[in-house]
Amino acid sequence: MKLPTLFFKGKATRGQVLMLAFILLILTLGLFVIKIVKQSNELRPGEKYGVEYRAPGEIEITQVGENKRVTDNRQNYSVTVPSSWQIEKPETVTHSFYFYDNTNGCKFSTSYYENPATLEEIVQQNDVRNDPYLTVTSYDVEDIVIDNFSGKHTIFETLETGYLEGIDLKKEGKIFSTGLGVLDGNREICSQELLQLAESLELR
Amino acid sequence: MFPRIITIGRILGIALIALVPNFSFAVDIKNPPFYDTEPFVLTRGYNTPDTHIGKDKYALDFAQNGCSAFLKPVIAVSDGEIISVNTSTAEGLRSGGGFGIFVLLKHSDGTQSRYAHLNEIFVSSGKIKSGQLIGLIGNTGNVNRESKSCLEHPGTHLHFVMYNPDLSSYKPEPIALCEDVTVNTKPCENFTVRHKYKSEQKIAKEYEKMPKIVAEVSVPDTAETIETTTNFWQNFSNSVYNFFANVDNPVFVAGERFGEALWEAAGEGNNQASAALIFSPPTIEPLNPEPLNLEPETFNIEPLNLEPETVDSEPPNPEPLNLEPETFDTALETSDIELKNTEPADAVPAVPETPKDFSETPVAVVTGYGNYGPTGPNGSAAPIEAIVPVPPACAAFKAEYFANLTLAGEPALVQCETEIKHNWQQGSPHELLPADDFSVRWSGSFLFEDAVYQFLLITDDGSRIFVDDVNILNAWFNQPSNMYFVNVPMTAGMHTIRIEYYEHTVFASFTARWLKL
Repeated sequence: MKLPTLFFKGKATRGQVLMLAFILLILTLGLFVIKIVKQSNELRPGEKYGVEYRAPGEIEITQVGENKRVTDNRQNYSVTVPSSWQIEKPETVTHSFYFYDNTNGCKFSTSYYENPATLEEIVQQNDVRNDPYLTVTSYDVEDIVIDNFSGKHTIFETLETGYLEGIDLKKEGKIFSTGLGVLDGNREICSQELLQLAESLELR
Repeated sequence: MFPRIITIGRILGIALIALVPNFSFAVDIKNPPFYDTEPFVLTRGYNTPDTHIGKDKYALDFAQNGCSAFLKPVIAVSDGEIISVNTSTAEGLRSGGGFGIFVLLKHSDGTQSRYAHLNEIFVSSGKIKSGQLIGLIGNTGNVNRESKSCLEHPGTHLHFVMYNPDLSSYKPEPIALCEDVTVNTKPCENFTVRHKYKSEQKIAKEYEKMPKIVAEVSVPDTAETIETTTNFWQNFSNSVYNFFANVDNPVFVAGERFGEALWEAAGEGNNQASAALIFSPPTIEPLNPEPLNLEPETFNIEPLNLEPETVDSEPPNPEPLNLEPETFDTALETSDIELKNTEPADAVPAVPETPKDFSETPVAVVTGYGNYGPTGPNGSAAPIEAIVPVPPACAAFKAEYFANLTLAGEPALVQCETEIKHNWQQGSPHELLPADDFSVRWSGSFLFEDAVYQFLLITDDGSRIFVDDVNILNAWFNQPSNMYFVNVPMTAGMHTIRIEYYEHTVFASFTARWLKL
C-alpha cells in the first residue's frame, strides 16, 4: 500500500481509510501521553508532596531610587531594601521573604501573618532560655515602637545556632515579623539594617 | 614501595571486614535521614564552628551539588514520636531557636534525632515510622552560607543531630578523622561521605562511575609505620561500623574493594587516598545475630521541690467574674470601648443561654516552636490559691488534677486558679501527680456579651474546650506545643466553660483563654 498514491488518486478503500484514521489516532494519543509525561516531569520539586506554591504576581519587586520595594500581595505588606541585597522570593505560600546582605553576612526575613496570641505569649513560647537543646550565651527582650506599632525586639545568641534578632510588631490580630541571623557576619551593621528594614514596613 | 602499600592495603581492607562483626551497636539508626536514591555529601562534620559545637557538637550537615538538595525529602532515621516542631520560616524570635523549620523525634531507646533548616514539614505530632517522610530540605533558620554552591537558596542543607537521653549529641557517623579537632580548626571541612544503601545489583552497576571520595586519608609512606596504620584502620573501621552496623543488617558488598580502591588511590599519587563506602540491604544472614543492647543510659534524677508557690489568696468572689483579658492590642482596646457601651450587667439574663450554633465554626491551628519552660510548679504562671481536700467555691476556675490520662476517677488535687497558663516542661504540676500521663479539668461560669469570642489553646499535649457542654475546640491528641483558636458567637449571659487537658510524655505546657473580638 502506498499511502501518497491513495490520496493523490482518490482510490482509497474503506479499510485503508480506517487504517489511516487508526494510525492518526495512535499518533495523537502518543503525543498526548508524551505531553502528560512531560508535564509530570515539570512538576516543581515540592509539588509531588503537596506543597502549595505561590501564584505568579503575588510578589512584586520595583526599583525605587537606589532601593528595591518588595511587595507581598498575599500577606499584604511591603518593605524597602537596598538594591545590593540578594532577594530570595518565597516560592511556597507558607514562606517568608529572605534577604541577604552578603557584604556584611546578614540574613533577614519578613512575614506578616495572623496570630491571636499576644506578643508576650509569643515571646514566652519562643524563649530559647528554656530550650534544653541550646546553650544560650546572651538573651534580651526590649519593648519597641515603630511607626505607632508596639512590638518586641528580641536579641539572643546560642553556641549551636549563632546570633539572632527579631522585631515583632502587632496590629489587629496580625504579627509583622522581621528577623536576622548572623553567623560570620558583622552583627552591628546587620542589627542596624534590621531596624531599617522594620522601619520601611508598609502594611496594606 | 607502592606494591607493598597496596598489599598492606588489601590485607587491612579485608581485616576491616573481618573486624566488623565484633563491633557493638551504639545507636538505633535504621537508615540515613534521606532516601537511598539520593546520594548526599556531608558538607560539615563534627565539632566544627560556627554551629557544630556545644550540644550540637556531633551534628552533621548534608547537601548536594548546587541547589539540588532544595526540597529533597527528609525521612526519619528510626521509629519515634514527635516531641517538638517549629513551622515558622522567620529568622529571629520565631526561628525555632535558629534551627528554622525542624522536627525533633524521640526514639524508643531514649535517643532523639533533629532534622533542621527544613523548607516544609508534613508531620506535627504522633508516632513516626523509620523511613517515613517528615519534610523537605531547605534553608530556614540561621544557616551557614559559606558554601556558595547554591546561589538561589543560600545555605540549603539538612542539619542532622542525634542526641543522647541527656540531650548531649553523639556520633552517628564514621568521622574518625574529626575526633581530635578543636573549635579553632576545621580539619573536617573537606570531609565527604557517600551513603549508599541500595540493591547489590544497583551498586555493582554504579560502582565504576560513582565519585570515589570519602575522606582524605594520610597514608604512611614507610613500612615502619605499619603499627600506626593498623591502629588507624581499626579506629576508622570502628567508626564506620558504629554507624552502618545500625542499618538493618547491612551487607558490605564492596567492602574488599573499598580497601583496594583506597590503597590503589594512594598508589596513584601523593599521600592522599580516596574510596567509596558502599552498602546494600541484607540479602544474606545478618552479620550480627546478637541482640542489641539499646537500653538508654541511666541518669540520676534529682527529686523536684514540688512545694506550691505561696500566693496571697483572695477571698472567693460570689459575683461572677467577667474574665475579659487585661491588656491586648489595638483590637482589644476597641472591644473594651464597646463593652462600656453595652447594657448594664443586671440586664443580663440570670439563666445561662445555650450558645449559638458553632458547629460550622472554622478552627484555626498554628503550630509553634516547641515550648520549653522552667520545670515544675515554680514555672507555673497560674497562682495556686489553696490545696484543699474538697472542691472549693472558686472565683474563676476550679482545677481538678487527675493522675491519669483520661480524667477518670477522683481527682488527686483540686484547687482554684484565676487563669490557665502553665509551663511544667518535663516536671509535674504537684507532688501528688506524675510528670507524665496526667490530666486536668478546669471549669467555671463566666459572663459573656452578645458577641463573637475567640477561644485560644496553646497546648502540649492534648486539650479541648466546652461551652455549656458543647465541644467548640478539640485538640485532644498527642502533640508538641501547638496553638489553636476558634471564633464563637456567644449570647449574652452566664455560660459554663469547661477546659480539659492531658499530658502524655516529655514536655507539658498549656495556656487557654478567650477574648471578645
